[in-house]
Amino acid sequence: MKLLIIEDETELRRMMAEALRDAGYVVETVKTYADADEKLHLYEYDCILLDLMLPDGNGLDLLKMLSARGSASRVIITSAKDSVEDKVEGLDLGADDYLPKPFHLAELVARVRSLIRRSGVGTHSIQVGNVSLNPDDRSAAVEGKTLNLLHKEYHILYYFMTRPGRVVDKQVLAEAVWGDNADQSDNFSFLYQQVANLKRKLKEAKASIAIQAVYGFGYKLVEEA
Amino acid sequence: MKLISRIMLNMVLILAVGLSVWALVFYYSLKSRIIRETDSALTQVSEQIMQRYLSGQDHRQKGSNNLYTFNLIPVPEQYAQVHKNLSFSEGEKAIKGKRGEQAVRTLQTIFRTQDNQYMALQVSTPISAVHNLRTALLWGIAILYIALLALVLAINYAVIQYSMRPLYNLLDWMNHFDLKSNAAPIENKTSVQEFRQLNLAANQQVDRMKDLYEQQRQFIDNAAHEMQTPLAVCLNQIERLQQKANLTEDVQMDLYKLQRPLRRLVKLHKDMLQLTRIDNGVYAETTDVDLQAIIRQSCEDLNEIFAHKGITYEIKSDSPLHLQMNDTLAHQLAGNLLRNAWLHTTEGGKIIVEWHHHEIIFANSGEKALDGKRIFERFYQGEHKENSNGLGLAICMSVCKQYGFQLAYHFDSGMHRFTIQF
Amino acid sequence: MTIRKLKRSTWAKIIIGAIVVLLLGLSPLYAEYEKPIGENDLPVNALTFLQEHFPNDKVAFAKVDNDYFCRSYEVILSSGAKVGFRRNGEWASVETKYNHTIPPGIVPQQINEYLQTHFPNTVITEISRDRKEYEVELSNSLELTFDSKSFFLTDYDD
Repeated sequence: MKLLIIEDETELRRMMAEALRDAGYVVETVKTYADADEKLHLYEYDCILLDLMLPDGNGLDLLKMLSARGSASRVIITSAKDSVEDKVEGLDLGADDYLPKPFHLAELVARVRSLIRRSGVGTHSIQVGNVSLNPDDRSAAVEGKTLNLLHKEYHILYYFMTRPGRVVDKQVLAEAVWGDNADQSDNFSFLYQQVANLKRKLKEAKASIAIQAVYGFGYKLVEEA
Repeated sequence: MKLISRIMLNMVLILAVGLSVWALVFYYSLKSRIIRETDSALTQVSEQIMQRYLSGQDHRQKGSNNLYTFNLIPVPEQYAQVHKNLSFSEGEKAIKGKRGEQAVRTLQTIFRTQDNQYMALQVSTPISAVHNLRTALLWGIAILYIALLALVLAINYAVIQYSMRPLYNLLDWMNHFDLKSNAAPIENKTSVQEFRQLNLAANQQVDRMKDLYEQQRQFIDNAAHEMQTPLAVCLNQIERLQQKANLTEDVQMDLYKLQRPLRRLVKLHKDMLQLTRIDNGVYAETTDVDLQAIIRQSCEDLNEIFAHKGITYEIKSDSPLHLQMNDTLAHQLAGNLLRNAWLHTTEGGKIIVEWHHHEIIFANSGEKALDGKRIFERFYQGEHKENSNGLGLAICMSVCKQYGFQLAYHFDSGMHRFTIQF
Repeated sequence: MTIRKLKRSTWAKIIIGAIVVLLLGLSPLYAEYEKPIGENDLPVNALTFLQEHFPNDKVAFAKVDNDYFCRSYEVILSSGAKVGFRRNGEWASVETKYNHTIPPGIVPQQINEYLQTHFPNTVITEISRDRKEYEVELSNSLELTFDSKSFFLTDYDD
């Protein structure tokens, strides 16, 4: 799977590339509109990460060009502006997703995975160990047997399964599942409870994955042998 | 009071006084001239009679014709010395040929004959005609006075209104001016120099405001980019470090602690941007928003998140609650208020949400009142809470301002109450 | 010139001017025109004139006239004659309507001669004079005007 990162901020570009390479993708990077234009004309990519604010041009123009060419799919727009107008225009032009900065690298990876999975052929389910998740009907199963999960539990499992092996910050997890309402909490007992329930259910279903607590700030999904 | 009322009032006062003085002067001056005519005639007749008598031509001591009646009376010397030798008087006398008594004016002249006999000559003439004339004159002047006053005032009013039209145009334009929706420069044709100056000044100010506004927008856009990028880099670096397997627990804790202030900064930045965006009208799109659904969902979530505080909540109303507004803003408005409620209610407290006709009330229990005047200010925090940046309520206020809702706070019976009237 | 630029002194002048106009307008109210006077209040030369030309007549009635600050006197004599004097006591008019003779010495010689020539059967009933001319009224109600210096006839009125 080949990805193109179009981003002018050097450090950020490097970290995005590293995170995606760690996730198993082949990654190419460019930092100017001109370079991006050149690369896009020469090669095809499975997914493009497009920063709108480039030093020598507006990313939207690249998108327009891709759209005209018919290959605007699989573009994730990243932008510091987080502007509603840009978002609407970008999605209108055919981009698949809009990820405002600052974003978590794990989130980036998850979205790329999700995008590739969506546009790929075959099953859309996520598989880690003997647990499978079907985002289309929000169901989870262990070795084929359906797992009975509550709404929030499903979302927590989904979050972990899209970031296997990564340490997940409990604050970030809370915000991802409960939305903005969770961003000011300093007591995460509501989270602990849900995670505990999930862990129990996984254990009962004899799943080969487990949610490990990382002392101080979160959890990690690990595959057990 | 209005300018024109002030001008008219001053004019009325000055004119009333001035015209009164004129009217009085005029009336008295005319009055005395009229009388002088009569008196002059009386004098002439008296002199004629005197001459005739003295020359021996006419010995009559009494006489009258259509116009005059005269009486010659011998008087002693003392009389002559005590009384003025020439005096006019008015009184009533019986006149031959007419019934009853008539008003007359009498001239009495005292003279001395050849034999040193003092004679008093009284010549009278009816004066009611003059009196009538005087009354007519008085009325005439009074009516003229009022008419003149009214006319002058009316003309003044009209002239001022007409001349001031450019000023009223300018005031009207100023009242309707709005930088976002109604920012056309003023037209206001006029040849008056002062009004031209005002027009010019107004338009210059408008241009300046527009420039400033544009500069601000640009600044905000750029600031967003510039600020978020380093923050993104910081956070992502920490995220990278966290993933390294060989970290000790201490280091992991430190990294976690490092993230918290950075995240607060990100949130602060996002909130500030949000405020400016709302104020700049970015969220102009409106749809039909089911506010009841938003409130219920938020309450459920918040209740779960803050379960450890043991707060009870109650949504008292059940009627549909639909508003025409931007969906994102609706979520922020309700979300911020509800989040505040849960955040600031002490353990075991209660939260009540209810709405009727054109009002929604978010109430939560509290100990003492907040500063109602300042809580909606940006960055104001009553008691400093570590996780809040003081912008939540300011955002709510901006949203309400956009739709003309009234957002207010009061504290009574141990409950903080935030009300939105729409 | 705008109102603001008018100096105080100009304002003062305007106000004083207005007061003066007002007072003039009010003048009819206070000037007493005719006042009776005693014989002794007449100017000396007036008295002298009366003694000279009307020695037998007493002053029956005398008054002073202050018309427009131009003073004159009027005397009615016990014979019925009326004599008018100017402020300085010089005679201005003599009227003898009812006893028909103006005393000699008053009418200038040239006028008398003229009248004898042209109007022999008439008598002067009134004579008045000013700096420029003499005006004479005759018993046939004719009015003649003579120039003061040359005594030429300048006007003829019926």
